Amino acid sequence: MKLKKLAAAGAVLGVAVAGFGAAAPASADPVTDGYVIVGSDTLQDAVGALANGFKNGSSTVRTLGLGKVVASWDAFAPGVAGGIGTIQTKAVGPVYPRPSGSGNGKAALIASYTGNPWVIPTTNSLYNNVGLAGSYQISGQVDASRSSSEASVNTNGAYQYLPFGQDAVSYAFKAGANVDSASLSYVQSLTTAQLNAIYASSTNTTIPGGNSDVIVPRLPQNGSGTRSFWLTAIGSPTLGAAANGSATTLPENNGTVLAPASDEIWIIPFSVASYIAQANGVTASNTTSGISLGSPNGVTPISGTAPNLAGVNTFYNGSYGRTTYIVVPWARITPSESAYDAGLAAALNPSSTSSLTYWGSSSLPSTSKAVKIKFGFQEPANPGYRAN
Amino acid sequence: MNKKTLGAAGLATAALTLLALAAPTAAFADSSVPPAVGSGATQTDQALYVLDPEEGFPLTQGSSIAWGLQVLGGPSPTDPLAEFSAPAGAQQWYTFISPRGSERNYNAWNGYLYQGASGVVSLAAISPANLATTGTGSPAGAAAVAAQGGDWSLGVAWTNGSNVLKVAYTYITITAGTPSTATYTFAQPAAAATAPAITTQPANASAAAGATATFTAAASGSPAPTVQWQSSSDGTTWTDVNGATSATLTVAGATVAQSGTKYHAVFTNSAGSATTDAATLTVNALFPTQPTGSDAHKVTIAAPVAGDATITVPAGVANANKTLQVWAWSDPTNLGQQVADADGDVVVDITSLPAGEHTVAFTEPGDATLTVVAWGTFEKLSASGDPLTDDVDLKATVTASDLWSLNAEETQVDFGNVTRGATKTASLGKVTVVDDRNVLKGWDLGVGWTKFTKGADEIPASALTVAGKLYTGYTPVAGIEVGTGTNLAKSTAVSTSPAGALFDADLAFTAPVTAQAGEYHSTLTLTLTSR
Repeated sequence: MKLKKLAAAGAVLGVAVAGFGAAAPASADPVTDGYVIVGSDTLQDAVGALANGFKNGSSTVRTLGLGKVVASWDAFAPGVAGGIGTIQTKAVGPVYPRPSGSGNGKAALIASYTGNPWVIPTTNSLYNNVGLAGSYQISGQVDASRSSSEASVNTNGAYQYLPFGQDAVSYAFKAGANVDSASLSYVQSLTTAQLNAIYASSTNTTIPGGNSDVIVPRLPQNGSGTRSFWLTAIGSPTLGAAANGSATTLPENNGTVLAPASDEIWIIPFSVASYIAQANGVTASNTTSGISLGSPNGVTPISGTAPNLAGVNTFYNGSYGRTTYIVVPWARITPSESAYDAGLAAALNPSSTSSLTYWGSSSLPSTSKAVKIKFGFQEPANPGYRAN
Repeated sequence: MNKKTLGAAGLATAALTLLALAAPTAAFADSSVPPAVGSGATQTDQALYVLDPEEGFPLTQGSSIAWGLQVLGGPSPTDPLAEFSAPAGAQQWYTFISPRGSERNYNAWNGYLYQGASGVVSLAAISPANLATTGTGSPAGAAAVAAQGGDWSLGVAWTNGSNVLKVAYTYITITAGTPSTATYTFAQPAAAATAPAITTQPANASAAAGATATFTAAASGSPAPTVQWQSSSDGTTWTDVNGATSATLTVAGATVAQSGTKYHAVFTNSAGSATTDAATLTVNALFPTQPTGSDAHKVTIAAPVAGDATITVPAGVANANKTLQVWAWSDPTNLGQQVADADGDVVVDITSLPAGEHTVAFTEPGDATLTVVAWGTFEKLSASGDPLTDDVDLKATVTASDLWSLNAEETQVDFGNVTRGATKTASLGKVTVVDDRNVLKGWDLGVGWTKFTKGADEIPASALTVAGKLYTGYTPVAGIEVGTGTNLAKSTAVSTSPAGALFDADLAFTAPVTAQAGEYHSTLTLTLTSR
């Protein structure tokens, strides 16, 4: 079902502001003639900050593409049923479901670039549950996607995976009433093997020590890069019933979804970068209150105190670390190709200090690198590559 | 996952031209002159430096920036994090591009970008390509400005919604193109002059009399300061030292009279001047001043008897066992070092001194001030065996015969019968040159000859060759030698003695095949010429 709706006109980024001096506030849903980025919510706060302009001390950092703005669309819209609704990303363009998560974002990018429809099957519960499964013609509506998962390297691949920053995933945990402090200590540093068993178990795992406290495993929604990476990192267990794998559509990186009952400790994979960004106060909301970040295998993921929390490099470069990417059609950023768009290439140029992908030598606060660090990212461990 | 080596992020494209250091194009006005700083209509409230985006230090003026390159603007050439101040009452700040002279009129801005609520600003992103909002100026939009090229202003502005309250900008000159191809050069603020500050004070210097003393000083400052050394005898009144305008002052041939002179250096540039502390020159006499009369430390020396080789000078118990340097006058004489005995007595060898009155004095070795620690006078009486002198005048008178002559012994040389085409040789014979003139000058002996004639028939002179040589048995005096070609012999200014210098010559006559038979005659002439 195609929904037709004209976007509301208004004072938004990228449009000439009538009436000088009016402050055009940043928006997470910007209709624009600029470059549209959708997908994973792991890096959406950092990408959004760079797209809208971020004040870092007395420097303001903003990614632009030769004058065109970057429009970063969040993975979820608050206040919308299931977090998913429809969006219109370009003026006089089609209205279509919000691409949410790494996988859906990539699918939407492919559809936009190739002109083939974006087909959302009914098995994609995230969309099917709100009646948005279907086939959507979105040619030219999406310019890049955010991804927190890897693809298979293909030297002739149609898409370029540009490293955005290194994230890491750990687990957040929260204890309900009556939980022993010994149980809390136990949950602080679970090993990979223990985590594997917890997520494979058909029942909530009883914490050893003769107490009745249990660990309740939870997962973010299907299609979430954090979810798939987490499961790989803990050894790809076959999900047991306790993990509630198919029913959940919990948003990623949101501490409020942890709702332990008495004698329960809930755990859920949590992006360390997102945790840092929220605790540092650079995101719109901070859901880290009342939750703790676990140290898988005893390695602490974070150091410092808010508002200057930062990632710990050894954790980020270990098996719980992952590189996040901006995915873009290779031809659109390659000068020799007819599809080349100089502005899109400029916004994603690793040599430009304000691009989304800069990780050069500068230590100035005016670079996107400085902003990304504040949002909890570290220098990417993997180089970029092409894939299909 | 193992960390993989991070390459250039695998990006196969060079999406942007990075900073291209190109010479400024001559086609457009030079943007090397920055806007004046001030609050006037065409002035910038605060100077803006175009900074390297990774380091935050000023880019080199004259280099060319790609339109799309991310660059920064800041108020300081040395502190990347320095901030532009925000004016009171400002509510927002922008980056903008405008025609020159229209910076404070936002209606004339061609393109701009809203940056946020007003505040102090550091490392402003002033890239013209990213001035995304189209202004109401003409032409409209940053891309249109890039297409037009020429001279513009680029920078930062603070407004209160209706007026521009402050600007910080610089001038740029654009080489026209698209946002992907246009480039621009830019002005940087003139470096403020910094007054000189002394970094090296001159040290006191000393030298022995007649030697050279040097003083060195240094100062910082921009532009580099000039320096003038001055001297003073009292430390209050100073006079320029002529020509002493480098960091090192050289005082050559120092005299004892100059000892105590003070010197200082004055460094000057457009921002001010600085003067070093004074340094003092000490000149050490090679000899101590001859003590006289009632000078301190005089001792009585027992008069030596005629023929005594030594005297004993009681230098005093204060000098017991010391090694002392010994000096003697009336001719200043260094008598070397002697060691005083336990009573302070010093034995001085006087054998090298002539008879007469003498003063002898002691100084401590290593004491550059040559302060006399003990002295006295004595008379040395002459005795047999003392060196004596007497003079004898020698005279000699050099004489000469004043002879000057040339003689060839043979009057005729006959080659005899010479068949056509054949060569016959003969000797010229002894030729004597005598040069014993009172005033010697040297000479040359030349030879020439006529053609061979027989009535109307002729054989050219070239049929004959002449080669000079020494006469057999003659050994020439140094300076006399055989010549070459028509110069048979030559000499420097040396006498041949009346016996003369003896030469000969090998003559060779070749009869031409064309010659008529018969007897031919030629005349050979020798010429002796004085130099």
